[in-house]
Amino acid sequence: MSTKSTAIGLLAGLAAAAPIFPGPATAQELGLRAGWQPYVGCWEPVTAEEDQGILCLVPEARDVEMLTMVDGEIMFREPLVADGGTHEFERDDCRGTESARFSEDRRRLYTASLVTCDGQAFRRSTGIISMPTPDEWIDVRAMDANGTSAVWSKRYRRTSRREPSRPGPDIPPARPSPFAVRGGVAFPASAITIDDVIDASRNVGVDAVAGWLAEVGRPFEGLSVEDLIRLADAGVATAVIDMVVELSFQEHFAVKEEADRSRGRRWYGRRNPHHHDHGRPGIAVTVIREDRREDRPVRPPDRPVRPPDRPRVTRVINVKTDPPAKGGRPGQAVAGKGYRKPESTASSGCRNGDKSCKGTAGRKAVRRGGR
Amino acid sequence: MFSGIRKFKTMRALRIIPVLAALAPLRATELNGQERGFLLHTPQITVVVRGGYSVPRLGGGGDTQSLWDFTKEYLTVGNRDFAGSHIMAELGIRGSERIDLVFAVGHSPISVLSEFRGFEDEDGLPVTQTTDFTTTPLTAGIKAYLKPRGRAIGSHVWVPRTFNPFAGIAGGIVWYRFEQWGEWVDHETFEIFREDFRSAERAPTLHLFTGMDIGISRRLILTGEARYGFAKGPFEVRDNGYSDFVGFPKLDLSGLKASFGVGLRI
Repeated sequence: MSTKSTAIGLLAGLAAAAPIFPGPATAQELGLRAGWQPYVGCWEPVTAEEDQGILCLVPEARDVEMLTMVDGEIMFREPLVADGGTHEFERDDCRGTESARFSEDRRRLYTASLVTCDGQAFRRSTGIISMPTPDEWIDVRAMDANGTSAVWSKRYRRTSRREPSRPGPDIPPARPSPFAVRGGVAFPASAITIDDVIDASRNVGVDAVAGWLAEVGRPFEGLSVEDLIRLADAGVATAVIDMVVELSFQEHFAVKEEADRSRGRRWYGRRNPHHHDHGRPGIAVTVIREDRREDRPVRPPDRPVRPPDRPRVTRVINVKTDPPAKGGRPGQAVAGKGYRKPESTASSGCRNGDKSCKGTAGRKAVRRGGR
Repeated sequence: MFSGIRKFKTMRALRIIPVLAALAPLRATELNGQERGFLLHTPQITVVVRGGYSVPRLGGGGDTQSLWDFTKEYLTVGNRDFAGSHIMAELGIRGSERIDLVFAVGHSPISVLSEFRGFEDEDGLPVTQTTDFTTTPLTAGIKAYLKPRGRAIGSHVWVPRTFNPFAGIAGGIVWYRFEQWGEWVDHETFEIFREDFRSAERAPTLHLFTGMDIGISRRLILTGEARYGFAKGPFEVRDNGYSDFVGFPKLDLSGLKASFGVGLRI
């Protein structure tokens, strides 16, 4: 093995070991629940047209606290506990319960909540938080209320903006140490697999999974029959399977986005959305499925090459005759008797029974064997 | 001497099969990059082209001599001589997962050269003639598959099944043409004369069929079928009121057709 190959192997080994031995991090980050590390820091919404501030995730015990900051002031403070337990909350005029937990592989955070505001009916929501790229994370939530459902998503990117004042708890640097995120980000940002879809479907609602896939927007490379059968056999909903297929065959299907400019949101879903975001800046997307199959280029028809004419087989023995003259009895095949010649033969004028008539060919037949 | 000509016709009719088979991989290759083992829709139409062998029943007429028996009695032809090539095209419109509405058209051209069994001319040469018999059935019917033809996954994906037997029933019309031309021996005068006897008519027909589809790709299927058609056709009466065939019962047009071909799911 060459020196170069050995060096590459060592680098690869170190890279592989990175998630196991994360680099130096703050004391607070060391105590964090596995999965939170890449999220710690400050983020800004991707599509907000007006400055809605930034969102900072700061360690709080084993989990994080989400701080919405505008002009350096903390406008909202929201704990996000990913212990899988149900936690009651009461903020502004809303109250309810919420829970969150990481997937087994720590690449997705599943959320669920039951909220009522101003005494209205409870809205149930489930969602997924994940990192499609190392510098972005998305929060997709599907809500059901009064028989209608809607999905909205928020996409955040890491920001280098520093707030002038830092009230409350320590806010980590806008861009954390690469060692701190190395192990946590590289893996969560990898491609979504069929197993991820199955796992997500078991933990959150159908619309949330479909919306999450649409928001990430990545095709499933090499999607096979076996993959699809696995999805179906695992009980994954039709809408989710359809989304997997649509994303994987974007030459056939297109996912269009319609932005709600008034609020800087993009919506997923087919019905009017109901949004409850605790005042955080957000985006939502409407997914419009467009069948592009009719746009496929039409393959020009193959023009077969005409083979050279074969020599014709010439029949020299039997010649078709003209139709019998009108009015005369034609030659006939008579059941139980045999063939009989036409009543009037053009060439000879013979009639049946005229023994002297030699027939059209002027030949007589004899029985075989000279009889 | 005669079999060569018949084989040539048969080969010409069957030439369509390798042509279709040659086109099939092109289509499959074209699709490989886009669709992997499944279709992005449930196919609604199946187009099939088959080629094979037709064996007419040549049934007798009971107490009355049938034209088939008559022909076999006077001419050097047997039942096997009327077996020959058969081509068929079929359009299937999906009714359900197991049922198709099928429209089919077939064509069985047979041409048999013969000579009189009991006579020859004064020089000892045979008295020769040709019998052409073609049938063209046009039918509509129901084709039922033993198992679902594929599995739908989600709203878009359809995974075809590989092996699937089917059976069906169809009804329609069969056009036939029975024509004998060449030299003949008058049964009273023993004169040799040239004549063209023919009858071209149509008759209702009933088909029963069974077979197997074998999926070889998402869109392409190999298919084999055995089909039996029942029909009896009247003889044509010319404008002058004469018929070339007198005293015979209706012509038996029934027969078995075995065919193989390729189909395309659309």
